[in-house]
Amino acid sequence: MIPISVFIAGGWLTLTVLAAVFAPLVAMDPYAGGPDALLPPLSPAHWLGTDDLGRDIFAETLFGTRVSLTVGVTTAIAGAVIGVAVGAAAGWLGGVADAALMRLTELFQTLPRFVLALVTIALFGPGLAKVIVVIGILAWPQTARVVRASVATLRSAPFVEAARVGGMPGIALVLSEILPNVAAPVIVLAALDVATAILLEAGLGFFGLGDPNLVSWGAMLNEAQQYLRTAWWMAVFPGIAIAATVLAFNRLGDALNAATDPRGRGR
Amino acid sequence: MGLTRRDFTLGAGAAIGLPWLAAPRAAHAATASAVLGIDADPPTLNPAMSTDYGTGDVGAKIFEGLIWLDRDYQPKPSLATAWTVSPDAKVYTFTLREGVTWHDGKPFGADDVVFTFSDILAKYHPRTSAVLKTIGAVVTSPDPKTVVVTLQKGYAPFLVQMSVFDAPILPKHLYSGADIPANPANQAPVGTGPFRFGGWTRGATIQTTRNPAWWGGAAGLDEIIFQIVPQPANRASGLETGEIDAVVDFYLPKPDEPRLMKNPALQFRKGINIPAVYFLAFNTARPVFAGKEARQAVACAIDRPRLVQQVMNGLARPGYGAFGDGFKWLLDPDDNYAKRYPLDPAHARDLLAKTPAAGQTVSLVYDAARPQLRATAQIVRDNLHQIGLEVSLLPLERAVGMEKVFTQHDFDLTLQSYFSAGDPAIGYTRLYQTQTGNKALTNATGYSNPDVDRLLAEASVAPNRDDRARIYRELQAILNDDLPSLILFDEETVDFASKRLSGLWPAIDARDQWGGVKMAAD
Amino acid sequence: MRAAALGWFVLRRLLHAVPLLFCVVVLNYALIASTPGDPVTVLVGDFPAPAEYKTQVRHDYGLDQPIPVQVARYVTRVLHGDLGYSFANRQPVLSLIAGRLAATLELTATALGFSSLLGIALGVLSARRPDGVLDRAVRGLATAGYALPEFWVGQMLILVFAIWLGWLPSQGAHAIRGVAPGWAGIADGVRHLILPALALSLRYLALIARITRGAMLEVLGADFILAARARGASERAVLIGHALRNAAAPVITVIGFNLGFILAGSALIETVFGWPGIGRLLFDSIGSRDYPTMMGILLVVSATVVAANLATDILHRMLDPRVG
Repeated sequence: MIPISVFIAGGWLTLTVLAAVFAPLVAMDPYAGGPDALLPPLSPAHWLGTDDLGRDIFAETLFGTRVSLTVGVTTAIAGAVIGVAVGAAAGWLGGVADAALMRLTELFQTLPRFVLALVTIALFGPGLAKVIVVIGILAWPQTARVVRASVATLRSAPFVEAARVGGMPGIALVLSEILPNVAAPVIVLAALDVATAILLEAGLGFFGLGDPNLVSWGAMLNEAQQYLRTAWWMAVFPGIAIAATVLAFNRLGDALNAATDPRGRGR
Repeated sequence: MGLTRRDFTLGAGAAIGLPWLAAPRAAHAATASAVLGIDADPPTLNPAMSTDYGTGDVGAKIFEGLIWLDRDYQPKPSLATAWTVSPDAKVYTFTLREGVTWHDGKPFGADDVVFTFSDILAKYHPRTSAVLKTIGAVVTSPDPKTVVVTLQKGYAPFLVQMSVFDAPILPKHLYSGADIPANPANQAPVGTGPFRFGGWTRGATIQTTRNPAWWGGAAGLDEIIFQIVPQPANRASGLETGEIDAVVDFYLPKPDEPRLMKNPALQFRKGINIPAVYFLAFNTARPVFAGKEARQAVACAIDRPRLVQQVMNGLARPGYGAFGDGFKWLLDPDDNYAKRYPLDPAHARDLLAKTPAAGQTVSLVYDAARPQLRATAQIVRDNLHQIGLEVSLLPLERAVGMEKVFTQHDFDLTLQSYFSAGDPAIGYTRLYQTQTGNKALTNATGYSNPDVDRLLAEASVAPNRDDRARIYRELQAILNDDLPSLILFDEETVDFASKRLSGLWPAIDARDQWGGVKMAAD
Repeated sequence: MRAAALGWFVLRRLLHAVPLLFCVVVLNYALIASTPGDPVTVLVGDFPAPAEYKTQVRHDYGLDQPIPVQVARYVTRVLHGDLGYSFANRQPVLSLIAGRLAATLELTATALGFSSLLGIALGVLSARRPDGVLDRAVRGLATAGYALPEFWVGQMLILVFAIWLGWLPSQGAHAIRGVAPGWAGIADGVRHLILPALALSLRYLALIARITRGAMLEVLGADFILAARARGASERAVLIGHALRNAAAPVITVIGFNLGFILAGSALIETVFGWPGIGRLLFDSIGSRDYPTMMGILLVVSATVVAANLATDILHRMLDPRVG
């Protein structure tokens, strides 16, 4: 039985994706401002109100999904790909290669991700591509560990032994016999990584290091900070959007985990 | 010269450790004690060494210049009681005040002035050292009461640079023969001003107390305490709760100022400040903006009143013309942006369609660390998008941005702000003068007009204000049409103080002239 | 015998942590060296520093030398505690960071203490009756707490408790005019601490409650608990005396390994609340492009995390000897 919360999470994510794709059809131009600055919510033309430059907060929040989803999904995929590659290589090769790759993994796991991302973006300048690269590079260690553990166990499993005896080369063996068996945990981790990446991106935006040419939820909260006293709505709506989206990805990740790993039930 | 407001803030950022280590403030009911909010520990208390805003704030209470500038930039007597200017604006003769003593009791004299100019200001003051070099100033003292400054070439705004911020007079007996940058007096200053240095608790307060021996009679306040408040929002709320008695505009967050102006317990002074303009510079070396028609189209598209309202929270005046409107004496009511380029996106779109800029994407470079420029860039992008010109925003860290704009000339549009330092000849000449040397914070547009260069030079030596005004009007006629840069707005500052204080702000700079300030009893 | 084994373990972990620390320093340098533009700019910061100073920095760091020499010099400097000089603040970076340490420690320790105590309590209580009302509430809180961006939680707390209700101050670590002596000063400090500490706690509260609950559930099903119950031990004794003691190891591990996140969260929270700690310093140094300070903070935070991981490993081993 699928819990109702999973349906809600799935529903919200579907809405988010639709919003990202069809934002121009639903909302006005999020970059176009006007004389009507700092209008409160439920104003006739702007039902979530306007910001300090008279831009429509509903439009900005809707268009903000684009940056969040792009960053979240691409970095999660990048993290999964790097993590699987490193983990599979370490688990399959064993020995010195394994030790070296695991030290590298440990190094990346130890690094304080957010602070490192902040400093890197500050040094190299803001931009969506840079944000994706930095978060993506930092997103793989956990996947690598999980994959390595599974691959190391599976390496000596009977069906793998059989294929090996049958003359299958190493890479093909990993791809066809072993990876399908680690797909489930990798997907679960990727879903959780999307959530983490969205939070990281929002934090970067809040520090003023988001892409200056795109609206993003973090950047909206950055601008809202100095208007907290005069225009609470500037802070409330983008925050709700972040929280709900992250919550949905987390919930989905947990549900996937529960469905694929019976031991994890109830935790 | 050549500094923007941001340069003042470079010293900001120091803060505190454990709060309960800080000394509590003694409360004497009978003491007229004014608390002034500042943002951080100043790097030094010697205003001859630094243009840090806090250094100037504290320094102006303790030190004095030869003159001070009233709200119309007119020089008033301070350490000099009188002065004469030769007709060619080359020889300035100052008569010094008699009977002035330093806070340590030693007498003040002409040798202090000569020493300060030749050994300190000419070497260490970030702005004045450059000015003295450019104009070739030689400072001598024919007799103990007189100081003569001889310039190699005439320079009309010289007196404007003689205030305590650009030319504070320091005691020779403490600096002569000693290490000037590491002098202990930089941390415990000795001046001639209305207040004496009384102590400095890092991260918390700097105290100054009344100088009973001040030549102007005793100051109205017993003491002035500079309270370091690192959080911008707290500097505003401190005024509201009465914990702080006065804060200069520089330290306050703009969005909070309209609220403070409505507070009945506070008085404020709005729009009286040394002018500074925010402007949009075009790279005329690029084909898009090589022709003035494209630049004029942009001028018709940019909503300057909206910039004033939304970027500056109403605390600015929309761009008036080539030199802004901070200097009332040079304005031309018949030739200005409002007449030439009223907001008209449809007309702007038509104008632009006939130029190579139509349908192009252009880059807009600005300093990422300045929120006003960030908001201005958003509005400029929105305005130009409406007329079919796409803008790609390129916020850069300051040094990288300066290199890109002033050295590599790799930009289409850039946002900058220039501080006039009290006279258009000091701060605004660089906006339009032909540049060949890739000097930072000058004219990056590539615009070069021999007539403009000649007129700018004339305006800086003509000693008479009416003559200067005529030259500046001639310049405005050319520049308002050619438009190498578009002035977006003139900054208006608002200084705040408790209504208990009186006699505030006679000077153009709100930090200056606190000797006459009084405080009403509770 | 056990002590000797533990000694070996500590030694092994130390040998492990040292190269890790070395890598962190080298990585820091790689970042500096790969920045677009002149690395001297990064080492000096965006400040109109005298040309002689830049020349000296170029020489001191061997920027005209081959890369291995540069790295060696940088590592040597860092090992000697020289993190460079912040021109923007006119102070050596190390003393600048040290000056802010107390404020950050005050905030993070409070948040960590609060979230650990409350998180463990909630985890234990909800494990007692799985799927009960309390358990559902705690699970909901845990899920939400883990999804909310903490800086936004901070903004919302300011909005409600400082702006709308006016109960608590929203900015800074103490009253504007400095600190009153004695109890009044402490009370004032506490009032300023509540909101930022609460905002910073939420995420760890969620995490710790969740881990405690999981660990408790696992332990509660174990034989020795059944045995204790069979002996007639009280519910309280079973929960606290047996189960929690055995669940402690995973909980401590989680707290230790998440220190890096607490420090990252602190950077955001200190920015929202104008808290005068290292996080706010990081924000200011990014704003003024004070690169030496930025890099110094990255290094100090990384080193702290490596040290915390080491300490956690050792503590974990001491609590749970099964870990090899």
